[in-house]
Amino acid sequence: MVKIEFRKVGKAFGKKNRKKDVISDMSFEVSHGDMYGIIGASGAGKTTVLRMIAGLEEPTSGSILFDNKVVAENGRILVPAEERNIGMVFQNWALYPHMSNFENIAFPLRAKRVPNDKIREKVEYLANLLDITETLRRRPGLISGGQQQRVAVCRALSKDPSLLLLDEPFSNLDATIKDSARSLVRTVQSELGITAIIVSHDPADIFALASNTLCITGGKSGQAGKTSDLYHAPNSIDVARSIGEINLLRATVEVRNGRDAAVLGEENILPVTLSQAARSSLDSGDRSLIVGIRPEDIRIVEDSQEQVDARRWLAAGNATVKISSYSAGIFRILLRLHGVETDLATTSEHFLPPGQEVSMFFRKDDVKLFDNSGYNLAATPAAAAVPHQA
Amino acid sequence: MKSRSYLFFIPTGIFAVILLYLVYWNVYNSFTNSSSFHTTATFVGLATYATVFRDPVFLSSMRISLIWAFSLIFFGNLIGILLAAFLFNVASDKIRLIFTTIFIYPLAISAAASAVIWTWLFNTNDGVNTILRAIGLPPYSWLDRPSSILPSMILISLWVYSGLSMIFYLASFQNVNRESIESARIDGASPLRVLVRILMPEAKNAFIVSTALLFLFALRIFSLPFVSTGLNPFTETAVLNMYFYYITEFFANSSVVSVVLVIIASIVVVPYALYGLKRWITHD
Amino acid sequence: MTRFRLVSSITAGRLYTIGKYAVLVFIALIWLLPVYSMVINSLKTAAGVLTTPVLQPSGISFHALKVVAAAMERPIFNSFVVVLPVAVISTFVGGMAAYYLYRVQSYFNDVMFTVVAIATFIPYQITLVPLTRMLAQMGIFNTYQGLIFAFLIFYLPTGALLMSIFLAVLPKRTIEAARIDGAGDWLIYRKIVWPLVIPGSISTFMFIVVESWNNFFIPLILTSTPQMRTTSVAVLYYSGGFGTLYNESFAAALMSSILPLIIIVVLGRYFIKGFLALGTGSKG
Repeated sequence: MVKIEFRKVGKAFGKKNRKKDVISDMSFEVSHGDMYGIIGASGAGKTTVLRMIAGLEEPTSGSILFDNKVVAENGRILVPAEERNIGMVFQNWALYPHMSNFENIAFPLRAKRVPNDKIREKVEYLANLLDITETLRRRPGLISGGQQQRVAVCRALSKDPSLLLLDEPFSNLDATIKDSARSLVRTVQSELGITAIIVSHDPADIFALASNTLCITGGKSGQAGKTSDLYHAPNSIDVARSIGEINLLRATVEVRNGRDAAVLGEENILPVTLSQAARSSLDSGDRSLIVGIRPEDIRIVEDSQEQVDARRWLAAGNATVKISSYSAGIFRILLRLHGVETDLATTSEHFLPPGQEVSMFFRKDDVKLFDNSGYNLAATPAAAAVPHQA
Repeated sequence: MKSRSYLFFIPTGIFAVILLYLVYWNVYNSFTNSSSFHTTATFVGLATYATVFRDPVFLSSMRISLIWAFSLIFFGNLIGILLAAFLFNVASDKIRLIFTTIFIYPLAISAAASAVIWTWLFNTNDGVNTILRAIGLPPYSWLDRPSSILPSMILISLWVYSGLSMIFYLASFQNVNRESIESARIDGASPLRVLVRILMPEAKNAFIVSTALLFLFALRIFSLPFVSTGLNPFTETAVLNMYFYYITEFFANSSVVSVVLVIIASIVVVPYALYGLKRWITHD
Repeated sequence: MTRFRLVSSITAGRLYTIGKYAVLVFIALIWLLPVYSMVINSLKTAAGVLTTPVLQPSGISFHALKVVAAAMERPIFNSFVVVLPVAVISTFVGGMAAYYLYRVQSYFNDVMFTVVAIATFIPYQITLVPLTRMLAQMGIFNTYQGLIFAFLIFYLPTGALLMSIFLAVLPKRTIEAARIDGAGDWLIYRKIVWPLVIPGSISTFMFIVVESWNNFFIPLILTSTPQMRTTSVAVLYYSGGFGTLYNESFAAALMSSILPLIIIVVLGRYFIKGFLALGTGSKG
């Protein structure tokens, strides 16, 4: 177990006159025994962060600490990869194609000159734990992707690393076995009580495994904290998008019935409560903002007589069904709002015919407001229900 | 412990440095009058260069080397394209490999042995002339008349190096999208048209590589004329490398020739290293 | 009408195929003339030499081969003593340099690549004077160590260059995985890199065996006694001249070429791969 710390880490690639900053001013901490997630869009720099932790890249500036000991700083690696006692599962697993699976798993132990009988014992224990005993004599090229991944996990764990790194470990697996692979990694990690860091672009991996998460946006630390906080209270649009699907709608703030309201397009009005700071910034300039709402926070009501709990739901006006499609037991609906260019994605338990008019409600606590630069205004929607027609 | 990867490069690095030292030695000495007769060399600036560049034997061997190089490049590419085009149209991989091996094997035989063999084959009475006579063609003077020695030598070098050109063209032809060739065939294009219109435009790289390598190999030619016609700087086949062997007692003069050769070769090798090599071996 | 055209196009196609093979076979026969003449002439008796021209076989006698073999025994032994260590070291140690250049990328490495390329392609004749002096000063002139040392100046960089090209296909992730698994460079090179580049190292090894076996100039200038001559130089003394019996010339040529010929027939693909890699960075 080890504690990882990034202090103002920056990383630039390229030659002197064509330097490109990939990571800048990044600080975060991963505590002992934690399963830590790193998420971000592709190209955001998450793999670079992982490679710096592994010792495969050096930080251009700042320092990286393992248990309060500097392992790399300001362009220099002080403890190289081979001495950091790390296990890593690569995106394509990077197994040694010319060695049997047994030798693959044994390789880190051979590098440490562990005696043969100890090696056999350890490999067999891990193979049994991950259920790949039958494949040990074969080579990686001759077994399924799921088995290869488990061999890669065994190899990463065989030397009892103090830190386990997982780089997009599930992206090359069939959708059908992803979940069992995730649960396997989770079980192994909690059983061995090892600090682990998983990098992924797929929120499903992060939710399945990571209790704390760093979201990287554009090479910077977008937000770090509990995974659920990142989802429910994202700092910015980039964070909100990285960690899940979100609908973003441009709106103008106007005063309706003596209260602030966000006007979406021509007809839809959403009551909002703005913080003092947010209001003053809006007062000074243009009054537009961006409303963010996740698909599951939208409720569709076909029958105008249906009662909706106004303490939890906020009327957001009418919309037209554009298209309904089907996925895994649920219908995915695209809604069109009058005068709004972007469609709204949501779900429904049953099919809705295109062209149908529906009423929309937004889950009150989960409407997010962002300013034009994409930062969360940290405003919560108004508590009181307001008639949804102007 | 720090990473000690650089240790891996040291042995090769040492030998590379020795080579650089040998080149440096030549550069340094080319500005002196060093020779077996001047035990203490003095710095003479470009005087030795001036002497060498005025030496008719140097100029004639330079001329011969260049004629040889350009003939080899021109005809070597031509024969290479021809052979590659024929082999490309051979359907069976096995037969293609057999022919490829036949055309490439001269590269594996030492130039000294080739010289011995061809000297006899080009013997006026006993060699290939017996075939020419048998089929009613006039015999050729080959190595017997000064004017035909160089062409005969160039022919031998073409026998050695055309296969090299061929493998590059063949490789580039085989990289051409098969579908575009097949669709041209279906449209009724003749094999010649396919070669000119579809295969050759894709063979630019093969042309550059084969030209560069033929040039560099031509600059190295020494054993062929040395074994075949001996060390006579006044013959029609005294290439630069032989001139240079001939004047070794005059260290400075030989250094001047070395510097000239290194410069000529570097013009080809340095772009090769910086653009070709680097691209081939860069990885993500 | 259609039927007629179909038939005529089939005949045209067949004619083309026949013509194509006729040309290929014709050129192949010319290319094989030296091998043919080496075989028939080294088997001739002195009487056969006097009564038949070079291209006409006459009986089978091993006399000339035996005589030449006795004389070539030592040079062939010398060639093996020099060539094998040179090829092994150039491939393995050159491969180590290639591994370093693969792992670390810097301006320094660009320079090193250029030096390595220059050492590979330079007309090595230019080093004649400084190299001879250097070996004399080191006291290894006219020794095996001296020849091996001199060969390594050129072939170790060649090995590094070829291995760099073949190493480029290694996935970087595999090497990184090994580092994270705690392996040092030496372990990675032996257990991961080397097993994965075996086809490339065979090509490199074969290429250097053939090239150094055939190198004529370096042993010519760096040996001074018949005891130290290598095969390619020994052939020089059978190059003929007035009154020489050509069966011995051909027997000598055959003996010096037999190893390269076997390599090209059995492992021709690897040899061709070596050239393709040098020219175009091709790895397959």
